[in-house]
Amino acid sequence: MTALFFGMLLRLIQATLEGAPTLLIGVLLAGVFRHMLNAEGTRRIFGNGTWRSIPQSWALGMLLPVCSLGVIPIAYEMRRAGVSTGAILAFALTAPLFNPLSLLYGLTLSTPIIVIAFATASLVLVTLLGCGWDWLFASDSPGRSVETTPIAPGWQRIAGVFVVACQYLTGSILLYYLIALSGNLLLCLIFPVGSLQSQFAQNDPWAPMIMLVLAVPVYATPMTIMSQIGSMFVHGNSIGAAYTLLALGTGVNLGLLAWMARNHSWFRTFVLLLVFAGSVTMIAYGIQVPLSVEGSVDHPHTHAFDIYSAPFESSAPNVQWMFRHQLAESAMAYEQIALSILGFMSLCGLADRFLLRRIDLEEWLSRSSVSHKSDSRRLDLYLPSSVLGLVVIFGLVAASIAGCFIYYPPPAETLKEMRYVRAEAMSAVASRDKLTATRNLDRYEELTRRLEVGYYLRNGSLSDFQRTKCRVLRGWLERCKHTTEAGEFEAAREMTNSIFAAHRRVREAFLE
Amino acid sequence: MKRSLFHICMFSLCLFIMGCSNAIDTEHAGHGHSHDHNGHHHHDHSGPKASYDVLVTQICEHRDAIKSAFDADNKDEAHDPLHEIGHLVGQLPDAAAETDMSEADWNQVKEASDSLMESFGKVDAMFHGDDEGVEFSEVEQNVQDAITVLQEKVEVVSSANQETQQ
Repeated sequence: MTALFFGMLLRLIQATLEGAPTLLIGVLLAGVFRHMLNAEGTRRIFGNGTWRSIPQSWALGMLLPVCSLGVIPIAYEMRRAGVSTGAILAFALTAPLFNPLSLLYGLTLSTPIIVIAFATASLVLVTLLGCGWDWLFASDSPGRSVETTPIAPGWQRIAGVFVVACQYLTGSILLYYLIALSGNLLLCLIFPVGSLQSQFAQNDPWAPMIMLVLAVPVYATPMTIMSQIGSMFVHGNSIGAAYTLLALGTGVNLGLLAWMARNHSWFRTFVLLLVFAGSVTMIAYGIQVPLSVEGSVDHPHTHAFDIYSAPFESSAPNVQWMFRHQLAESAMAYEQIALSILGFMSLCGLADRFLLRRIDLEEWLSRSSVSHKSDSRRLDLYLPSSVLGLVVIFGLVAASIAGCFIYYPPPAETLKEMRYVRAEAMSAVASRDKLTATRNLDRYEELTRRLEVGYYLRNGSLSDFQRTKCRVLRGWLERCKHTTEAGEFEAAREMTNSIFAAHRRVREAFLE
Repeated sequence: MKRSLFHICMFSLCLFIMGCSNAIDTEHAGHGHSHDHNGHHHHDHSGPKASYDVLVTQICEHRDAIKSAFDADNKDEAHDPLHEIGHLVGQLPDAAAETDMSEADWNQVKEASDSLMESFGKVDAMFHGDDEGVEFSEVEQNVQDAITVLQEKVEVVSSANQETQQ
């Protein structure tokens, strides 16, 4: 019972931490939509009422760095602005599918053409779903179109954006976030420790179906899913299962479904899910053989999905110690910062809801901003809210592109980091420290991907030679990791020379 | 080009359907082993795949077996070696990348591997009743040219190794 409790708590905290940065972006964007773009501007940016509405929605969605949790407040705001449900669906299902970071990562996988094929199939499917919904349930669209009292330019408008963002972190919407995160708890109950390690073999006809059971309730960020797909390619796992994971795992979660059901009836949401999941499964089985890839290791066994199964055996000793250890291991600094900001904003939202309940902050900001007039007109230029809104949105897109250059540093820098991580990994193998060794081997493997993307970003191309050198190194790291996990430390140590040689060849391929 | 791609795809598809049961002679493929942990069976994750020179030797042996079968008009005997050679050829680029050969040499190995895959793919197509399938004699020269390139690179690798040891 203790193991189950701590296991579920661990999965809940891990999912919350993982989603914090993209949820933060989601709530801030919702504020921008309301007070900078306004309802009219929001409808226009999503091409409401035109044929380009749905493609425009998914194109915008793919450029914004949000996850399936972060799209919920945006979907709220889109509905409030009166955007059609088809466009909301297109945005909500594709925005988490890719973002610039995950797409670049995906393109370095052994077969980038498969990732492009996955993306194309998903976009076509989402377009058809959106059009179908708008056509079938025309009476249901558009949304309520609530006009908000405009706030004039100045600090008041920025405060208005903040107020809306805080409001989206309290109240009934919290329930949808919790429902979304509870999907991971559900999986933790369904799948015992390690049960997902050998489920997705290439020749297993059930692999896409098992993935379907996992992908609908799961909540994960686009980057996590993309790295899991990368791992599936390395292990030569079922390509149909990989597609199912991408299409449903990133785009759909239980919270989003609950929100759809609340706004558009349970029956319609169920039909939507049935059609979407059914189409994804058909595509998955259709591509299973023609697009199959041979992995660089000889077995389908992978730990990529361990984060969705129960973390602790019921008989495991020291569960609390393992809980703390795993939590410390998985909590990234940027996630903790984002979660802290969200916590602060939630407190502000609660204060607004309970302490200032007699005051409508947005109304007050609107009134107080009317009297504001600039004395220095030449310096304090008036910019329409739509221009500011667009600047914020495209600024975010530009920032995420710039972020790619930070996340994927120059090859020399990545190679330097790889050297340090290799030293830590190999010394952990030598000292038989299984947890540290596997964590560093995972990190080492991830750095080889960053190396490829970093080079590609700066040079515009990546040769087959370089790709192969990295793949060979990853193959050795995988073998070393599995051997270490099996407790065969001597066998893992024997691989040290091969790993060093493969590393040297990678360095020569990228720097010479 | 389209036709070449088609043959490579079809050949790969056949290899996939046939599975790996009779794929590779593991005699030279390092110390592969299997074991259990956490109730899950693991396979061969400690040993490397066959080295480049071993692969080239095996490819030559299988090529000879295929040629002999066709020469003796006993084509059915060439079918199994044909599938096995496909697996071996598929491993060549990675095995070559595990050596210190230069990018230019590696590109030649890759090109030769693609050429072998295409040639053997055409021969395999004949066994599956494809109109575009050909006799081994029709691709023999291409196969020989590709293998010559691969063998040259074995010498490049061995001389590079000797230099490193000195």
